[in-house]
Amino acid sequence: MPQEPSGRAETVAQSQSLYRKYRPRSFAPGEFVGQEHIARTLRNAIVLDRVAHAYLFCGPRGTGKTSTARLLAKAVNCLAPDPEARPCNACEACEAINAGTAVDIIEIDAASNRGVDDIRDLREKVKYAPTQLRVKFYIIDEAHQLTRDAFNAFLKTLEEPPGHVKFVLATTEPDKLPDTIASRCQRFDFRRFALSDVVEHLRGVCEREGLEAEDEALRLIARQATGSMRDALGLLEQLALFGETVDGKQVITADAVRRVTGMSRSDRLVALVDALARKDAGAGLRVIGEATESGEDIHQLNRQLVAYLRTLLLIRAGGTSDEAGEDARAQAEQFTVAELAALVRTFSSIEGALNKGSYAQLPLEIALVESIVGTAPAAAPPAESPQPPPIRPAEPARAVAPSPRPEPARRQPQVREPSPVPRPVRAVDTPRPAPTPAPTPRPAAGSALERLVASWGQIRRDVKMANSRVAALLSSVDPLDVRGEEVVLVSPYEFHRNKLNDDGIRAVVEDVLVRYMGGPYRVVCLAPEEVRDFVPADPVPTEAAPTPTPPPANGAVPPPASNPLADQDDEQRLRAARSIFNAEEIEQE
Amino acid sequence: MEIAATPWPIVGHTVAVEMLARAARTGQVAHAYLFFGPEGIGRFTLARIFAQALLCEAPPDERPCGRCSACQRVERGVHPDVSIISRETQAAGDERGDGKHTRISIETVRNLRASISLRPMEGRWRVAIIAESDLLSRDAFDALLKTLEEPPPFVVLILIATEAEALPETIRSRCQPVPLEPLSRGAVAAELTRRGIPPEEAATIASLSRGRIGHALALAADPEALDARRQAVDAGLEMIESPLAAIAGARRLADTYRRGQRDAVERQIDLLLGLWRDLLLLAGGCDEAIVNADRRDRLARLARQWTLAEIHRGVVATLQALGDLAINAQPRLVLDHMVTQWPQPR
Repeated sequence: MPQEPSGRAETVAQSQSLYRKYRPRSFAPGEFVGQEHIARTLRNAIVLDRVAHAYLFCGPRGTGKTSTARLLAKAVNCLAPDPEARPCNACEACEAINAGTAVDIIEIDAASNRGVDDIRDLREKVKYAPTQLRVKFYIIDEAHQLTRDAFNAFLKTLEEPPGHVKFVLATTEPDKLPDTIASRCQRFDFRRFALSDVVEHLRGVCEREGLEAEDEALRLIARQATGSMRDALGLLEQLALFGETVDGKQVITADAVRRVTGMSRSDRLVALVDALARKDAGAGLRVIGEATESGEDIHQLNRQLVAYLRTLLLIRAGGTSDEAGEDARAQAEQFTVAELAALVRTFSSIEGALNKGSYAQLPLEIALVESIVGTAPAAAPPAESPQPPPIRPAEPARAVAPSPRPEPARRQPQVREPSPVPRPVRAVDTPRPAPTPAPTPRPAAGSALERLVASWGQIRRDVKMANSRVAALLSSVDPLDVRGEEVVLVSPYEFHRNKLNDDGIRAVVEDVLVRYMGGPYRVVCLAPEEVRDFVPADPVPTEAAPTPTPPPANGAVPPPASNPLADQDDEQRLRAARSIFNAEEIEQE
Repeated sequence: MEIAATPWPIVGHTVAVEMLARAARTGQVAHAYLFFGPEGIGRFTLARIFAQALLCEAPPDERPCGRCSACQRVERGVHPDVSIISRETQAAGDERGDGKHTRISIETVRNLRASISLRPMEGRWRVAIIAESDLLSRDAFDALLKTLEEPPPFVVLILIATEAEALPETIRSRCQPVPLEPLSRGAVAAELTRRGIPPEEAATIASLSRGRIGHALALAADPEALDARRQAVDAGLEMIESPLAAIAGARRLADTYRRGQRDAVERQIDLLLGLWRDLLLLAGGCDEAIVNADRRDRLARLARQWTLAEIHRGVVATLQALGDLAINAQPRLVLDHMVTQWPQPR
């Protein structure tokens, strides 16, 4: 789009975004990618003339909700004699809709028209017959934004609209719709697009736009978009402008993708993992420093690192990965499965903390050093408990400070080959707790409690990230016990207890707990007087711990409690946990 | 990283500038951009220059010329086709003058929407810059959604944020992301030298600024600020060197905090965190990256007496203190706890 140098008189417009330009125009398989389950249902509805009066489209951003709604509107109004061919994109109605001139397709942005008055207005207009098309089609985007009163005012209309009206409600957050609304609609859940679908679509768009792109570049773009077509096309568009021009042709290179998105080259990841394997903190810190100095995005680096470690874990556990090269296979051999799992957990848990303070990369650096020197959250506090520090209240937070990683015992090099490079002296001379028996994938009750207490601060912080209101509730709550599949919390305030026992809020906490406890637990919040009854029973050793609910057979995570070694291990941990609590009791006397 | 000369009067951000310049030159401009990166690295400056490039009256290859009336009015913030939203503009537009402006309200966004739906007065584009888009209220974001998805054809929206993740996904996916990173130390130093700062001081300031050119320029312009910082660093080092000084320092900080100077305390802890991080880097054998390069010897002496694990504990305790203060923990406990967690000097 060359412009006149005169400057003034030109008519300009932003170039139409690719994601707007390449919205699907029909339900044909080549056109409507990725959501086949939805396409088939809607097509059959059209063919059989059984289109419902209200649909609810839910799904993450960029999965085609609005596009499908428009497509449906077009298909319902299409004049093609053969219902199979609808939408034909040739008839008057289709053309009017494609050109955006159809007055009977009404798109409402519920985010800005969210009040009850807006809905009353809509209700008034619904009565009138369509002026141009057969069916008046209302597409209500971001439907979850309507106010409660607006929803209520809408109920009746949505239940029995006039025959010439159809609704589509599109939303990214279906949970926020009242049940009364949701139950009046046919619901379709849009899925994130598969990587291959996105790559395929990008390739098609490139062809039509006359762009050249390396396969690797498209793969990177698709991965970056995490299943959202809009993100993928947006990025492609950006790269189309950025790409290098070779012989008058624009080529989108993988390198350009990395530069634009701030992704790091994969050799950085290899170097980082290498530093972890050799326990060379300096080398690792240097890699991070180089990455930030050259303007790479630290979030990206961490995300890539986690993905890479995950690939290694997959390989080490006996799986295969098509992305893994020789490098990855060799590196995977240098760790045990447990070590890799611990690394993945450490690095994925810092995601929310990165870029927060004035040292963007600090959490990553800490995680790296921690993985190398192996600070044990469970080992440190008991060692200090004989002389409790002057400040008790901060205790749970401190116990956690180093992060909820399993203790370094798991990181003992069990199968590791001696590494070819000599280890730097400084990194090794750190005190190490004595090795304990083989790691247990899921520890039983005693260590679960220990872990709960140790990770409590971290759990609270994660909850805060998920939902700050729930986090505020947790501020008055202390973790008390793990009974079977239940996590018992105690709070002196009735209000907090009621809230926490509420299903919605409980779920938020439970979601976070899964990450730290290695399995699903139910949260129960009790009053201090209620717990007094069972606190004395608490120190009953390990397996005999009071479990009113016997652990139900859980296929996903079989508790390996039968292992005698593990039992012993648990007892130790229980003792450690008890020592934490005893310390508090003594102080009260 | 080499410091490539960019066609625009801004330091660094070569990738972004290249991309935006090409967009402005060819007219292939997206309808919404999201500039994100830490504050003080020139996000707003870049947005302003981009607006100039779009509205400049010079031939395409010379835009932004910086001389034409359009460029100058954008620079002064009086161009009719450039709307800027921030908390200040919101406060200025608040007629009753009683609003609390911790967030950007849905009203402000509605006003913006109304104004950008009109054709541009004189230029070709209407540029809207939302300077602190992390501060939009939830409702304000939602009110923006539709505009962001399909704005009028002549509109270019520029959102500026510290963290892309702080914005709702629905917003992010509708904008073209322009990640901006802190500048490399060399780039900051070179710019300072170019402005007539002696190279040695420039290097110090550059490492202190951690790539935030805005901070670097502020430090360079104000010798007292630099001095004050040096004193603060020395006080911090003393705390790390001696447990007694640490306890006393913690008490002092807690008192300051109680008197309501939260920012000052947080700054000092942040500085301590920087010192601990330097120790960590030194202990890891990564000397060249340390921030407080002017105290290298003292830091190196400290780093030698501890193991990496001990220093790690110091870093974590300090970071934890910052986090705890942010969630309103008892400041005195937090600070005492922080210094008792630090490793003991030998």
